[in-house]
Amino acid sequence: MFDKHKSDRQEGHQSNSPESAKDRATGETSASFKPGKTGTIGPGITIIGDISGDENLIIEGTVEGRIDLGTHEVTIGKTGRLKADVVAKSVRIDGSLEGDIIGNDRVLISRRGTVEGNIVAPRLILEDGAIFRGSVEMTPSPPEKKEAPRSVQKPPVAPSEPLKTTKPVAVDHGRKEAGFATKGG
Amino acid sequence: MHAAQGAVVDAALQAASQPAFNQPSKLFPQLFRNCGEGERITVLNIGKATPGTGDYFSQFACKVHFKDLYSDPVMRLLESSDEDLDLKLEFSALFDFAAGSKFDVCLFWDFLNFLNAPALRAFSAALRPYIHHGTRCHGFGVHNVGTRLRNQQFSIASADGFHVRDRQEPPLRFYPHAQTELYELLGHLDIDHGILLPDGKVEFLLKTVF
Repeated sequence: MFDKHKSDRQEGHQSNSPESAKDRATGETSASFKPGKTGTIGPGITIIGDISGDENLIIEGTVEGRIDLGTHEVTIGKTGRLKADVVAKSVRIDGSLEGDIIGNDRVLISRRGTVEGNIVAPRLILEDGAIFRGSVEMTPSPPEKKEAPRSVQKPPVAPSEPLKTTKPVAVDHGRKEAGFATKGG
Repeated sequence: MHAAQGAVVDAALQAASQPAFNQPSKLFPQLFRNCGEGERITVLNIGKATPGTGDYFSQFACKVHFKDLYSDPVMRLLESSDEDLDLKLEFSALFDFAAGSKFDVCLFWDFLNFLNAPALRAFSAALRPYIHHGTRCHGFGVHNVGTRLRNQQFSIASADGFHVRDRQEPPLRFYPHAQTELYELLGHLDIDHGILLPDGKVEFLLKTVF
């Protein structure tokens, strides 16, 4: 169920189509997050300060500060203007961002997006026309490619249990967060 | 017009747009030989961050610095008045990398052809603190100084080829360098291999000489 929603959202992210008439009418952004799971900062909003939380976030307004949504997704809509460091599971930029990004999963700069800063992520996706000034530090994510690393993960969480079902996934998140904490520069 | 004084790229040549294409590189395999060998590599890419180059390096543990010097104001200054510029200072200011940064791979593409002799010398000097004895650099020059290069943008297409497309921005002033001149101006970089390409470009693999 969660996976279904997640994949819906990701498809919404990757489709680069212009926002629909319905979106314009409702004032929603082009990103298709599910209501209730996603917070939105509208185009008329300016926030100066830090943002943290436990849901996805779409930013169409202006933010100066720091955004930390560790295991969630951040979308900077095409009207979004950020002077902020961003930490999230995945980050998509359709607007502009001046600051550093840590993307636990991936960072995508769309054809409309502009980023000036440094990026740390397993994967950087640049669409044709994206503007990126800075450096990117990439470490391909082993869990996506192979199952093998999971066997290494069993001691931290379930030492008495053999590897099976969902345990390794939980470990996976923990490991990623640990990776975050130590990244820094 | 004297080549040493710079020449605007032939307008007629630039006017006819050319479809994007991929071109094989016999030097890429040597350039990227250490990629994916366990050690994190550090890369300097002179030019825009492009989808192809980003994708290629996503396979490896690496850090890639994108420096779009082509569109930096210093290049326009070079065109207008290169007399009073402290070029070494200008390039050093642009190379604002963290202290201790060392590049394993430098991708110059065709950038060196847009620097006149003093600028090329200054560029090379500014780069010196960030390269080490194992650094390998890649770039394009010209077979002879009469060759005109198209206004193109390059990116990595694969481990053995690059992608070429017309550049959107207006062309920069062109300073073709003979290989002997290039050798002298680059100082601590030497041409390790050079391959003549069909359009009169020469693809270079450069190594350090210290």
